[in-house]
Amino acid sequence: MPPKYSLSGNSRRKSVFQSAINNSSLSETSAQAVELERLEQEITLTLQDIDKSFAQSHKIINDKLIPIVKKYHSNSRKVWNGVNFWKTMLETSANVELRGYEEAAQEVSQRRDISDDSGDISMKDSNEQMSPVKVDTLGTNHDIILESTNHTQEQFQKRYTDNLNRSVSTDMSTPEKIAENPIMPQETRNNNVGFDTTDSILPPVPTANISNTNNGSDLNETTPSLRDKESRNYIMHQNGDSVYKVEVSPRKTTGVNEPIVSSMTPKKPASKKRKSIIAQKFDSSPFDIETPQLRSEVQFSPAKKYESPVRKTRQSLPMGNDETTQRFPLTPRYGGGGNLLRTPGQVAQAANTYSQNFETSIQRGTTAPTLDDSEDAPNISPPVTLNFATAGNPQALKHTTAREAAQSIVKDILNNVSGINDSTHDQSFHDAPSHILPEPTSTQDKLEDFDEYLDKAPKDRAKNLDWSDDDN
Amino acid sequence: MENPHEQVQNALLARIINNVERLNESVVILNNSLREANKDNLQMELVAQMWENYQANAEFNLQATGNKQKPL
Repeated sequence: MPPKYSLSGNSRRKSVFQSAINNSSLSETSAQAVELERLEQEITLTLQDIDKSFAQSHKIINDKLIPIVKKYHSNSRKVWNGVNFWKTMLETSANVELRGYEEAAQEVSQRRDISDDSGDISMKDSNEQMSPVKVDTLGTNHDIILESTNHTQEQFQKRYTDNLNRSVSTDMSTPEKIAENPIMPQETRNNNVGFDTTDSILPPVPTANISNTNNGSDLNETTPSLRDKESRNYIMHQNGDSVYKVEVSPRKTTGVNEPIVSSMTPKKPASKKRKSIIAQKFDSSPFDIETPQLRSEVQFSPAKKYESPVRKTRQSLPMGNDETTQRFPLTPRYGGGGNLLRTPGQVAQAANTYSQNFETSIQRGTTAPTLDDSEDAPNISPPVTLNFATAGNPQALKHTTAREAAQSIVKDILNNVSGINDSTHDQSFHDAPSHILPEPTSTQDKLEDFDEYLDKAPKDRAKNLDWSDDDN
Repeated sequence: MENPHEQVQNALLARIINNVERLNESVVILNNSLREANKDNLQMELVAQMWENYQANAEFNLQATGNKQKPL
């Protein structure tokens, strides 16, 4: 008997010729030795061929296929860059969103040690439990489902190919698909019988399979609409080991739009909050809205009007907790109003800032806040004077045009200024801020004198206010 | 005395194993590249399907409305 040959590294088989020496019949031994030698040579040649084939295949793959595939991939990317616009256009026009993601059933043998993911999908197929596990093999975000049981990817592929055959006819473009598809139907016939309808793996897939395979079954008859919806929402594409699940989802129902809407909704309240905060501190002052109302009220009821504009402004100030905060917001408005008023050139004649402020306030009866602003700046109480001015001659000024009323008042003031105390002139002048407007029409000399006077003693004016309407 | 064939065969087997390992690696690389390419092509496939559907629908509607004209 020839010695047993073993391929294990430790046990060395001995040469055939040594063992043959001890044999009784040389003829038999020689024949066996020759035969054995021949077998050894054949084995060696076969191994050499195998080695050569592997080396050649490796060389082909490395030198030819991979560069070609990479080039193809780069070109396909270029094509996709050009096609992306059309896809977006079509999706937008159809109001749907097509999202392709990869759900693959890959080889089991490499990863049987992976623990079952309870959160993942579990599936019963022909009375065998399958525990897919999500693994990120490529470092991508795609969920790859691995099977830890004897069920190979063939079953998954079978299901997917069923979907492919039903939904997409163009998937056959790749040679891999072509090779797999003839195989798949055979398996599907055998395996789909045991399909559990409650499979949770790849929810769309089993349902689609059921719809395909069990077309006459009760399930489709009982719930055709649901099956149709699910089959419509998902289209499976299989490319080799990976399966792409294309979700056709109307954009209204997709969760993608929901976050957009939600993101939009929270932004609005946020802006509202900001506005509310700003309104409390800054806009709360009656500049835009309240002041005109106050004006009207003041005109009809001098006493109330006096209280309302001033006190509301001041109440709003304490609401802001800081006068500085109010001054800060108020100042820009004040400056803006001042600039606008300066443009006519009327104000330019009155060099005094106070007088300018009064003029502006008078010209624009609605801009009571500007008056308040001007008040804040000089540290006096100009708003009080203004209010008194409006209150002191309110009715007469109301029904006459501003220019006429101002002219009449200015004339009176100028008469007073020319012959009487400055304090009285100042008061009268301030009392009728509208007077400043007609001043340019009146004599320039008197106006200049009056402006100089205003520059010199603004405080005195405030102190000497004769108007009884003042709270002071 | 050791069998010379065994040595040769062991060497060949070792060589084969190395070649298979390298081949496996290269195949993995190839599969990855193919997977990525297919992933990108999937989008184009969808676009092609949509265009095809659009063409079919447009043709049907044109025929139904009688507005379909012969090619120039």
